[in-house]
Formats: sequence, structure tokens, C-alpha cells
Amino acid sequence: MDQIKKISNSELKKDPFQKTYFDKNLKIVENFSKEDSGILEKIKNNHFEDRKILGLKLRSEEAAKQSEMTKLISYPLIRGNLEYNLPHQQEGALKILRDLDGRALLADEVGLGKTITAGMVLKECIVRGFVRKALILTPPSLVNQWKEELSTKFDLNFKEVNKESEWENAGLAIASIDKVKNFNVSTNEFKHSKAHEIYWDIIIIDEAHKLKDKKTFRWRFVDKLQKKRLLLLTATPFQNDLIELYNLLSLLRRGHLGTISEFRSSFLVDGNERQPLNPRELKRKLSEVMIRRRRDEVKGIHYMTRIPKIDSINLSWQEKNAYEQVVDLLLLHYFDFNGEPISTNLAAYSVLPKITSSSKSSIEFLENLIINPKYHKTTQDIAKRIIEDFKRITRDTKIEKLIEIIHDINKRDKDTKILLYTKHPATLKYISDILRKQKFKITEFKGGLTPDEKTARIKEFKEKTQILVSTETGAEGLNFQFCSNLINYDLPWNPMAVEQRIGRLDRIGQKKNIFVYSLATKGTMEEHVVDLIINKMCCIGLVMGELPIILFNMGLDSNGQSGSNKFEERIMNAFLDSKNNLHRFTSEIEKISGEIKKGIKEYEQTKKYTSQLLD
Amino acid sequence: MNKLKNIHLNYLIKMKTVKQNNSKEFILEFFKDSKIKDDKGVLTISEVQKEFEDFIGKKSPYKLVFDFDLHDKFKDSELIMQGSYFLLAIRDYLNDKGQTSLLKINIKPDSLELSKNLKLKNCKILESKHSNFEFLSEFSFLSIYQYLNEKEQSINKILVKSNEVLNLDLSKFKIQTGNKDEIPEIDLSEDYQSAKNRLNSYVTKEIMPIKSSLREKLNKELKRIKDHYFKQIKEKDDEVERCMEKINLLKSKLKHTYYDRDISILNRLIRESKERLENLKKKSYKTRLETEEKFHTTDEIEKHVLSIKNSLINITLFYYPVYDVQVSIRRKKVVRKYDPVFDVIF
Repeated sequence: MDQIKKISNSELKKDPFQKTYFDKNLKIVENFSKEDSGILEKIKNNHFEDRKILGLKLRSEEAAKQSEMTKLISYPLIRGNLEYNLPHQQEGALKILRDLDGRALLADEVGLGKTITAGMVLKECIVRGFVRKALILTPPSLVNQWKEELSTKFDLNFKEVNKESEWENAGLAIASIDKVKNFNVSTNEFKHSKAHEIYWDIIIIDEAHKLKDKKTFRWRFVDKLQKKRLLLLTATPFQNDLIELYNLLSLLRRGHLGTISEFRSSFLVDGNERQPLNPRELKRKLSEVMIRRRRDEVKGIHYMTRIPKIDSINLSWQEKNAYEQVVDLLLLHYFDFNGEPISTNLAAYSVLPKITSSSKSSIEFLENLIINPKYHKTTQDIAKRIIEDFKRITRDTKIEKLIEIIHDINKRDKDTKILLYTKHPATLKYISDILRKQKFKITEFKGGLTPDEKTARIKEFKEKTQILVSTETGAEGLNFQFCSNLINYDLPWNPMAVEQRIGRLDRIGQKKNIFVYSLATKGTMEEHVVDLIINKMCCIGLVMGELPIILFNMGLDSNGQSGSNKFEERIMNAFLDSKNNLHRFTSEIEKISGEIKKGIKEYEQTKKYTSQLLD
Repeated sequence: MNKLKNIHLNYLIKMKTVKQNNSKEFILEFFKDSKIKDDKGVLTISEVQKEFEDFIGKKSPYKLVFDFDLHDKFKDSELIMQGSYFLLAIRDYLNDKGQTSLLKINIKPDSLELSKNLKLKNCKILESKHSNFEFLSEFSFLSIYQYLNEKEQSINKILVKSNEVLNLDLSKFKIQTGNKDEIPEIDLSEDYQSAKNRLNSYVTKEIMPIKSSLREKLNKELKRIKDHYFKQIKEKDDEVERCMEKINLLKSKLKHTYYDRDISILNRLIRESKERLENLKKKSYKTRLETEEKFHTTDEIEKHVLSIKNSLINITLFYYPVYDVQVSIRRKKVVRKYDPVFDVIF
């Protein structure tokens, strides 16, 4: 009780409109509206209104009176934005609010829509007036996806917090957990300690299994946050041992599983931190703070298989020659106006994707180089020569392959819809023109379209045309589950970006297996990268949403020193270090591939282990 | 058993229908000046006041439905149910409206009836004449009680006359809309204070069951935290004690050991135990755990806060005439005042 007294004395405030007092240990905050005086003033000024309005007003209070937490009153507001009505999501949100008082571990299996359930909790709290300050902490790569989902599905605009100063006006805030957990050793403070000064009405932490270790700054940062409600989202609440689960639950309810010594003696087999001593009792304790549903017990969700198809292109000798020359230009003759070599890193990140995309985008790059005075004459002269070589190329084997693939798709499933992706607007235009000449029905989709234009083009694709040629910025956040063929004309070297592409098709409501076609030039580095990303990562039977978790677990989902995604950065570095030596490049890719394989294996083991205990 | 179940189910269905009808009736009343088309349960409301359209940020027509099935059928419709967003918006729209009303209690005294009030015998009322107005003010307060993930509300009407709270039923009087030109400037600040004080006692009574259940819940949580930290501190204390005992034991062993090898081992063990002890003390676990306990205790107290929001939503000012009555007492004419609402001559 001493603790409470101390708190009581320190927290009493003086405010003419607010009275805060403690009735035993219960804190009561009583407010009187500041607007009351305005009504008294109206009377003083002889200002009266029609009495009938009062009747209406009293009835409106009655009608607007919120029911007990037996249904989500906010659901009608969002149901039009949700693609599907999945009852388990509403049930989960209600249970979190009604039975678990808003402090819960949501451990549904991947693919059941934990984000949607959490969004429902958030929206309901906001509509009911319980939440004004909300914080979402996510892995770096998921910040934008969360923001987009909250905006499009829940009409909630969350502001991303990057700098410390941005906490001051934070209402609905979202941040990368990797960014905010930084600890300044010299000041012995968290860089984002201002977040600890705010009293949050709700905090949601995605991929919370990363909070398994009590000693980490990440765990300590979260533990110091003042919060009324806390939602931890993860499909795998522990990975290596049950102590991780203990640590996670300590954030939710201190002492729920006793002290660590009690937990060890009550729930762990002596000397084995993986094996529960009393699984039934542990399950019971968990059910007081946790919700977990398996995919096989939830109705309305069916997963389709991703079928990868990598189509190798045999470049003609002229094409191969031109390609090699551009690579050489980048690695050996890429000079600025003063003759100083331009950073090869910069060249690799900005130029390499273009030259592997299409001859059109290669030529566009070279033409820009020639007219740009910041490049050295030697570089420009070489570029001119390469353009001449490009002009001598009589056929485009990549586009020929593309046409062949489309014909094959049509043979398999006549007039079926095809989503064709390229990274570059120049390539998009080039492909569209050629396919139109071939009498294919095309809709173009790229960045910069207004929402109305986007809607019109989606409608056109749905109703009139067969192929949607798109850049990823164009189709971001859109859903094409009525289409089951994806062609990667060029492939981002970032597996998360590829997942995003596939994710446009691979969602609830997709009724067919998904064919993922990817074009790769034979005998080039691209071929190995495509094999790694498609065959060893994106199409290995993982459920949508699992690959980001694996990469997050491996620390490969955030941005590296260059600002690019870490995974992409490793591949680019491998390219630079190889000095165009395919053998060296391949061995580095194999090394990455081995690490990924290990990461996937660990994840699968964790899933199995989690399932054994929780299901 | 099945019969009971059916009765319960029928009751639930009935309650749901009542609530739907209430919402619908309210909507019809609110939009009575607009154009309303009712097509098999789908209300299409058009020609709505611009002020409301601007407030809600959406132009009419509004397509409103009152059950989920219809909402499923008409995706562009707005589902209206108790506490739904549209109803909340109407409430907010009306928030600064209907805050003041003026009503007149119109009573003309009947001489014969008045005479009955005269306590003295041999008196009779000769004449009654309207002299001035008296005032009553009715304060309507909305109180919202919010705790955990629940919200309850109540409306209390408090009638005040000259700073005194009254328990008076005005429904027996003939009441009409007042005329503001008939009344002087009135300051109700003191009446408002009296009403607020009375509201306080109503609120105290209303929150009693909430407080009781909330406190029960909170105490459970506080006990969990207290026990947890008590045990944690005890575990650490025990560890320190064990460590000290071990040092003493090793020291006593050392006294009786003569072999160099054993002495060296014991010295090493003593050094290690001392280091461990120092380490335990250095981290000042007690302070750390107490700080943690305070943090989590505060967190739980904040989580279980009962927040009460009282707001005045309307003042209705009633006024009524007070009469001068001429009374004849032993042939002497005396003028007295008669208050028809309280039915007293004074």
C-alpha cells in the first residue's frame, strides 16, 4: 500500500475543471466540462432555443449510447474496406477488448490476418473514445505496409516517427522498432526516451517474438513504455526455449507466470528449458493472456500454391556483347567530369537494375549519360559506341521470350488475366507498345495516376483487357486476386519487393494456383539472383507473410549502409566484389542461399515447437 | 429447457428489434424536414440541411439500413445501430444545440381554491392580481463513466430555485413556450453550483457498483504485482544470504586445511563467492525492483482509472407569475403574495 500512497500523493493535480482523487487505491478522475459556463452565459444574454431540440438531443444521447463490449460498433465503418468478412478476426478483437482488457498476446498462425484483428481493436477503441494516443512498433520493412493498411482499411492515418523531436505531437504514431530502441551509452538513455514520457492508450508490437530476451535494449525499451493496453503480435511467441515466452509475458503482465525461479520449478523439466513440465497448466495460464487460432480451424481461408517458372533467355551474341560492354563501362570506365571514378556502389545500385531490365532502358541510360556534362568524355565516348552496338541488334530475345510465355499461358488457360511487372517506366512503355502490336489487350499501370484513373484502369483490366503491365509503385496496395499469372519481366533484388508483387495475387479470395514467371538472362548474374529469390525464397511453400518474418529474424529486412535493403545490398556487394567474375559471384550467392536455408529451417522448427506446446 | 432457451431467444430478438425501431424512429424524427424514402427497410434521405451535410462531411442522399443483412445487400449503405458512427455524428452535431430553453408555467389562481390555503378562519380572498415572475431552473447533466474498455452514461435533471435543489413534479402544470421579453437578465451561476453539488451526490451513488467491481479487479492485479516483487526481492535476499553462508563455511574450512592445494582451491572459491556477493549488492537489486514495482503499480492504477465526465447539456428556465392577493381579515384588507407552483400564500 505504501507504493500506492506515494503514487497518490505525487499525482494529485490542481485543475478547476478536473478533480483527481483516490478512493482507497482506485484512482478517480472527475471532469466538468469547460463549456458549461457558455450555457450560463447564453441564459444571461437571454438566448433561448426551441425546446424540441432538447428532446431530440436527449434522444440522440440515448441512440449514440454505446453498447457493452458485445459487438464491434466500428465494424460497419470498415467492412466496406475489407475484402473479406472473416468472423475470427472480429471475435479475436472482441475477446481482446472484452475478456483480456486490451492486454494480449495475439499468436494466430501466419496468414490469419493479425494486422486486421489488431486494426479492429484499434478502430473500436478510437470510435468508442478510449484511445487518443496509439503507438505501433513494427519491423523496419513493415512500417509502410502497416501505414497503408491502416489508412485504406481503417481510415486511420498514422504518422511515422523517425526523429526524437517527432514524439512531442505524436497522437497516432508508428515507428520501426529497430530505430527507436537505440540506446545512447554515453548518456545512459534511450535516444527515443521521449516515447517513455507519453502515456499511451494502446501500443501494438508486430513480430513481438523479437522481444524474447530481457537483456536486450529492444525489450527494455518496450518495458519502459507507459501503456493502458498492449497487443503483442507474433505467430511464434518463442523460438529456442520457454524462457523467451516468460520474457514476452512479463511485458504483458508482470508475474503472471510467477518469478523466473517459480516458472522454472513449476513449468520446466529440470535441465531442459524447451520441455514444459506441466503443459496443461501452462496452457491454461497462457489462455488468460493469449489468443491463438490455427489456419485449419478457421473457415473461409484457402491457400493456393505458388508455381515458379523461370524462363532463361539465350541472348544473341550481339545482345550479350552489348550487355557485357555496359557492365564493363560501369566497373572500369565510369568517370566523372574530372576523370575521377564514380563510386561503383552508386553505379551498381542505380544503373545495374536498368541494364538488366531491357535494351530500351539500357539505351535510355546511355543516352542520358552522353548529354550529361557531369561525365567524362572517355565514358561518354564508350557510351556512344555501345549505343551503336545496341542499334545493330536486330532482335530482342527477352521480349520474344515474353511473347512465348503469354502464348503458353493462353494455351493452358485461354484469355486468363496476366499481371506483368517491370521496375522501369521506360521498359513498361516498350513492352506495352510491342505487345499491342502483337494484338494483345493491354492496360498500363504506373506511378503518378490519380485515384480515379487507377480505379478506371483496374476496371478496364478486370473487364476488357488481358494483361496489366505495371511498375510496383503503380500497383502498390492493390489487390488482383482475380488474376493468377504473374510475370516478372525484371526482378527486384530485394525479396520483400518480390513478395509484395506476388502478394497482389496471393491473397484471401484467390481461387487458382499462382504461376510466377520470371525472365532471367542465361549465363549472367541475374540468372542466379532470380533462382535464389524465386526458387529458394518466394516459392517454397511459405504462407504469405512468413518470408518477412524469416528475414526479420535474420536481421536482413532493414536497410543497410547504402540505404538499400540489406539483402539487396549483399547481392550488389557480391556483384561489385566479383568484378564481373561469374564464378566468384555464384559462390557468394550460394553462401547467401545457405544462410537463407538455415533461417527457413530454424523458422520451421520454431513453428513446429510452438505448435506442439500451444495447439 | 428448450422452451426456456426459446423464450430467451425470442426475448433477445425482441430486444434487438426494439433497439432497431428506436434508432429508426430517432432517424425519422431527426430528418423530418428532409425527404425520406423508405424502400423495404432501406431509408434514402435527401435534401438534408446543408449545415448537417457540412458537419458530417458528406452530401446527402444518405442510404441507411438497420440490420446487417440489408447492409450486406447494399454495400453503399450506412448501417445504423445503437452507438454506430452515424448516430454518434448526429449527437455531436446536436452538441451545441438545444442548450437553453425557456418555458412558462401558466397558472391563474382560482379565488375559491386559494381560500382553502388560508389557515385563518373568517378570511376570504378578495382579489388576485399578477405582480411579478418567479423562476425555476432545471439543469440537465450528462455523466459519462469510462473504465477499462467500458463506457456508461446517465442523464440527471436537477431543479433549482434560489440555490435550493427541489424535488418537484412540474408535469401537473400547464407549460408553454416562454417569451424572453417577459423576463429580466438572469444569472444562474449560484443555482448551477447548487445543481453541481447535487449532481455530485447522484454520481457518487451511480458509480458505487462500478467502483466496487473495478476495485476488485484492480486489487487482484496489485496483489499479483506486490507478490511478484516481494518474492523477487526475497529470492535475491536469500541468494545473498546463501552466498554469505557459503563464504563463512569456506572460511571455516580454510582454518582447518593444511594442504597447499586445498588452501588454494578454497581461497579461489571464497574469492569467487565474494565477487558474486559484491556483484549482487552492487546492482542494488532492491532499489531496482522497487522502482519496477512502482512503475507497474502505477501502470495498473492508470489502467483501472475511473474517469467521470460531467457536462451540462441544457438549462431550462421556467418562469411563472406570482400573484398579489388581497385578503380580507376581519374586514381589514391585507395584501399577500401567492406562489401558485408551491401553492403557498406568504
